Amino acid sequence: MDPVASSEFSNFELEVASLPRVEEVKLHPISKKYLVKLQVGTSISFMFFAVGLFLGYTFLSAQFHTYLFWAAILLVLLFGWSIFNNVMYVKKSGYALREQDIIFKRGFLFEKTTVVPFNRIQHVTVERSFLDKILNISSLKVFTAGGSGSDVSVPGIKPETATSLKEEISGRIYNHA
Amino acid sequence: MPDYYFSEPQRQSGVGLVLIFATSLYHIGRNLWVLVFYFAFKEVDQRMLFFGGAALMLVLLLSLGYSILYFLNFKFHLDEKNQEFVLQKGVFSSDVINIPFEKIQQVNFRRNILQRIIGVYSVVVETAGSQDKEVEIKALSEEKANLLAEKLMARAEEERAETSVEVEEDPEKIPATTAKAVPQWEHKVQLWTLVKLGLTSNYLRGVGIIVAFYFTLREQFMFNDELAAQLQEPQVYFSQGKYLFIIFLLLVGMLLTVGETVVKYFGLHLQKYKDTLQVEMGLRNNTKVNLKASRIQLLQVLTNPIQKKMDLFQVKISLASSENDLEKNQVKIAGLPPKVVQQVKNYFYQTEIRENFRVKPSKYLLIRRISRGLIPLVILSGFLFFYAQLVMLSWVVGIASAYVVLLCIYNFYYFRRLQLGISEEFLIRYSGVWVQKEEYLEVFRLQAVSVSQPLWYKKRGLVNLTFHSAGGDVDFPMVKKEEVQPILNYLIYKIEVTEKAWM
Repeated sequence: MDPVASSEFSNFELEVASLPRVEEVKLHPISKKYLVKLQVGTSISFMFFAVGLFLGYTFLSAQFHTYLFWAAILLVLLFGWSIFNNVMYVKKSGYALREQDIIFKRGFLFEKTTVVPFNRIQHVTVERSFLDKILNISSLKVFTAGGSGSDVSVPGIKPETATSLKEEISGRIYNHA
Repeated sequence: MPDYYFSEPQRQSGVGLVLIFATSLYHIGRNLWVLVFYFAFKEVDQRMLFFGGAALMLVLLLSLGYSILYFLNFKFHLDEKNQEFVLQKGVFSSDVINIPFEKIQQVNFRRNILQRIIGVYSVVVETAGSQDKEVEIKALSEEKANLLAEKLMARAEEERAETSVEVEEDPEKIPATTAKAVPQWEHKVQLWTLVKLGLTSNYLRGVGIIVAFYFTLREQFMFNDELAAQLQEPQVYFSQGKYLFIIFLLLVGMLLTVGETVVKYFGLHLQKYKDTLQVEMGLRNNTKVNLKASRIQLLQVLTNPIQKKMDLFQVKISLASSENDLEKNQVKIAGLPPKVVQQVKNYFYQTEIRENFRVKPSKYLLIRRISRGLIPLVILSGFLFFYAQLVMLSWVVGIASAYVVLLCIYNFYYFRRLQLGISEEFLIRYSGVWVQKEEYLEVFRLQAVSVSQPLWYKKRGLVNLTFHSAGGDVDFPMVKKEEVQPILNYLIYKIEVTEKAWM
């Protein structure tokens, strides 16, 4: 048993400054291929809207055309923003494994960092979607008992890396169980 | 001689058949009552009556047959070899449910009115981490129910002790016959307390119930045009005396709230035994829950200023739940005096909670909340710009300034109440203006910690915190990053060094 967990560890004044710091950990970036996946997804969904607009332009009477014009501008702006957002998302996201936990940071507009200690992980999986297979990437999913809020899914990792990470984490979970 | 080890597959008590049959009749009745109504209002000739009667007899016979088969096929036992609880059931299909002992979270009792009349208990086995969240055996005699519950809990406890690193202390326990000794302390909530509780609760719930009731009723009656037409009429009366109607609605809402409170918490009885807190309550559905300190993930204590004066506190206890419906796996106990709340806390948390310091949200939270509250006002004044001739300006200014004052006062108190207490072992979140809430989360029960930062917080160095536990998330908004980062590092460190099982 860990000596710190038992009676010895009980002074709050422990040198908080000397504890390992999450904020100083250097994160591994996620693969640029994931950016391709995001952009493809965004493009496809905007394609649907574009087709809708086009159909509206050909079939609706001329009085709606001004509305459609504004809608098209809005769409282009949104599309541009989404593309930019995807780029920033991938650039800002990253993960790191420490001895005792996994850190995952994601998001551009809303940046969120989650730390999941290994001794609270229920199970780990590696998942690959169709696009992932084409792009040769996969996502590492970490499940906890804290509901979806604390589950972590790290996208855009090389399959070999993901698998070895999974093995590594599983091993560490077992050490605790 | 009954099988006290439940080692062989066995059925429920014989009277269980009555229960199953009555339940199926109830379901049939509930689905067909509109039809009955329909017949009652229509002219019926003899032929119709005959066929109707025959159909009814057929339905009754079929459901009796179904009930008998259901009863006969419903068997349960404890499989000692595979360390699991086994339940077989099904009439047309046959389901076998296996629950490994270590997956058992709770074993509770439940009784509805009928079960109380025929003197049987429902034993509900709750599990963690599967879709079949609970398994219910609907008719067992009191003796058998107690025995089964005790057995299951003991086996679950044993299993867990074997698998977890830290073996729970006092090894002399779990002789299966620890039986229900004298409780160490107990507390009964009187009827009058419940009435007071209802009177000081939020009536809007009661009003909501009326509205919901009205709509379901209307929906049911829409089958019949004549009846629908009759129902339309009362509305005409109501529209003539709007204020009277609102007062009436509030009164009924109040009565309903009191009624609901009484029905829900009737006979609330807390009994503290050596290693469990037993909570029994309910008039319509009587439940008996055994709470073990080791399972409690999150504890909330709620009250409002009036209830506080009257010593009425509510305690909400969250247990580990698999899915995201965290609300469901919560035990609510209301109408407790502070002394009992303290006793409950003492049982769950043995150690005294000594806060080291408190984290307060940034003042920008107050500014943001007030400015968001002003948005409707801005929109309204935009409208007024165009339709100014329609309303009296003095009225608008009056109402608007009253709104602003209230908004500021409310948010000021909201801001002042919102605090996060940090102790060596606990996180305590204080919040609420009217309903004041204290949430207790033990540090070693934390599952993960999240820090989120919208882009526009960056300049001011602010972040939002989320503490994830198996009983739900605890959020705390807008704190200085540099102030909380050491705390987060400390918390993560604490989670990582404990070998205490969080469940």
